[in-house]
Amino acid sequence: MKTVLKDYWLVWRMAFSSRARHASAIVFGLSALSAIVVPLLILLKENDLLLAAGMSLRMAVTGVVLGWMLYFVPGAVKLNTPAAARLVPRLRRRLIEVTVLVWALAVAMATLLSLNTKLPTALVLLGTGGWIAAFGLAQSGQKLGTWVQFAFTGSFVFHRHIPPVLFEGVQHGTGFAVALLLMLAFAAYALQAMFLNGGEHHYAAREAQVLQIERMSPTGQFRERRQNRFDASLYRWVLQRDSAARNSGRLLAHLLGARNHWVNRAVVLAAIVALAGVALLVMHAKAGPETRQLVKDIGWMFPLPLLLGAMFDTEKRNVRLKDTAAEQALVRLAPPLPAGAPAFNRKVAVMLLRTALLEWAMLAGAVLCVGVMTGASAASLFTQACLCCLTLPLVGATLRDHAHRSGLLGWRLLLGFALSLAVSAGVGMELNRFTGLPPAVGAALASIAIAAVLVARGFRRAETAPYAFPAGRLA
Amino acid sequence: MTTAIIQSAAISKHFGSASILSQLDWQIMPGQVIGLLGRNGAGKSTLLECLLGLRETDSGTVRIYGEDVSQLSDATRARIGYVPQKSDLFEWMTPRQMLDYFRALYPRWNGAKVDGLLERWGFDKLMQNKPISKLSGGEQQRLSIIRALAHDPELLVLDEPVSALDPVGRRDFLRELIDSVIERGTTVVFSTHILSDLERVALDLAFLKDGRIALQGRLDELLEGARRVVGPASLLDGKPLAGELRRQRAQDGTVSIITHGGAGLALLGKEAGVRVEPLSLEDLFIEVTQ
Repeated sequence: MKTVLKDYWLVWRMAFSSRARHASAIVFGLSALSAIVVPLLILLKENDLLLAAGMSLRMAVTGVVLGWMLYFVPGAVKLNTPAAARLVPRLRRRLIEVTVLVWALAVAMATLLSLNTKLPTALVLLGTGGWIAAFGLAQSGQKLGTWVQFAFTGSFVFHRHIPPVLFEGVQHGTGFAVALLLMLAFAAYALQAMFLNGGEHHYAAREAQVLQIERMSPTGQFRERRQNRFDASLYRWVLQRDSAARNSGRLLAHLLGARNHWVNRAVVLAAIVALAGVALLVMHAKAGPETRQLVKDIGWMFPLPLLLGAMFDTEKRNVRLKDTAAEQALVRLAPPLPAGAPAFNRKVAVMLLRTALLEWAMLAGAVLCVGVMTGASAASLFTQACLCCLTLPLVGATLRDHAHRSGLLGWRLLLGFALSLAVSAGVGMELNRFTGLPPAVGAALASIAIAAVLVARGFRRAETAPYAFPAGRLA
Repeated sequence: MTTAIIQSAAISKHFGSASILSQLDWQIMPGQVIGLLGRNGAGKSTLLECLLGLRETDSGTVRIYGEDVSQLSDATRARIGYVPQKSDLFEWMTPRQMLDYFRALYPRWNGAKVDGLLERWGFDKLMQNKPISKLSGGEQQRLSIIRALAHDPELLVLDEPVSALDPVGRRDFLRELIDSVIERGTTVVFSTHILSDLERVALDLAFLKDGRIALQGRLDELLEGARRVVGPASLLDGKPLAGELRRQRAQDGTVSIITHGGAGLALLGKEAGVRVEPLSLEDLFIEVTQ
């Protein structure tokens, strides 16, 4: 028994550290801390020992389950390579056992917590078991897992549209038994798909697994992905056109990769706008006048989160520039690129700024387009346009000393953006107080000014920095 | 007097506290075919990158065709071909797209040569339109070489160009290098670990050790002049030999000395217990770089 527990602890730490070195200590530390502090606070306020003990247990289990979902599962899938699955069967066995144990613990805990509440216990059991199994399946790179998760979310959101008889049926007697068996079968299938047993099938699935694992890392989610057929044909056309034009600036932009080319981004945004259009059409046909009015009044706010795409675009460019350092060496030696670091860096900065501005304009355009489709008033659309300007300073973040600094900006980008928002909001308020200018307009003007300052600073830095390419060589 | 194509003087390069290149002086003359040798981590790639201006040196100067390497003109850059060690480049493109991309960047592009190489090196239509990420390591390396040769460079810098190639691929590459590059008088600098290939192609060798060119010369002269002298310590200790490169004392008390171009070894070889042996390229590599 002792050996088995030791093994479990070992594989738990192995899986965690394969994703992040100190993740295990952080997750356990935070779980332990919240399992002590939160119950203590409850004890002080309510003076109820049982309630505090229950909360402590919940916190501890929540910590373990979160750690399992975020770190253990991706780490375990990563560890179970086709070779390890065949050559170290004990590792695979232990990974499966720990996975099942935590899954069972999460399901049992959720079921117990639902007792004596309004939540139907049977549905909680089935839902938790199925959803966590789907999560594991998705983590192993299988699209089915993602679709099942979507289905769960959909059934939760639109539960009023599902016939009550179905919900009733699966909560009692034979219906429950059948549903439970189906959930267990799905969980078993997910488990088998997560931990394949080597061989051709495993090798074939490995690419999707590795991609999914990579997606969980901060840098990995911004990596170049494989193109689908449509993207590839579109990129072929763009590359052919740019090669034929022999425009070194445009050719330079191809260093960012195929998926990150603005044409592909434009297609994605067009698809989003089209989908939003269809959804609005359906809504107009089905919804009542109150809902239609509500959409008209506040609908223009819904596409605003799209603007955060500018932050992801900035990070994508940063990661791509780091990943293509070897390609940059060849491009730097090519004749049409300017000689001397200042001129070369200016050229790179112009390319990056143009790409960033274009992508920002496309995002803002998509947001406004959806705004127009909601039937928003001119005033709302104007506010929307002003809000779009708040993300404009992000284009300045793309101009850096790429030789010394490459890769993710991470928290620096977040902090910088938050600071820019705060300054813009403050300026907007003050301008409103002194001049009566609407706050959104003042904030937009401040953001435009911040963007201009950042861009000017970026270009000044480009003048004195070493050759931008290959990026990151002096980091 | 012929001017050196690459002229580096007193270049130094550190990575943190590790010294990679130390006051290195090196000249490469027109038409030279130089094999750069050194152990793993000796700094061969760093040296080649510094020579091309892809890395900044901490001190010293590098000039290519008389121009400062940080300010190379368009015309000079058009004369340089470079095959980096990493060959999985432009993975999101197909070979055809990548070649078209570079054709757009170079004023001179030998399309016939590219087509010929693609055909000879097994790039059929299907493979030419396959993403580079899907090609094998050897295929990617061959493509990298084709790209570097396509604009008929006058200076070709190759960083371990055959490391991923199978014997057939290596033979094809060497044939191409001899027939259409070296024969044309192109200056070639290449690093490799495959000594047999080097013997077939390189006329000159340079050994990189401790951040400097420890030994350089014509291959035949180096092999002809290199000798290992093994003898008793009582006889060889305290007796410096001409052209001595390295001296080592074995556990059995004998002393082994590597010399190059030293005179008077024949006489020493007649002493009792003293052996004077010629060295193979592999022996020379080991002895010089150890």
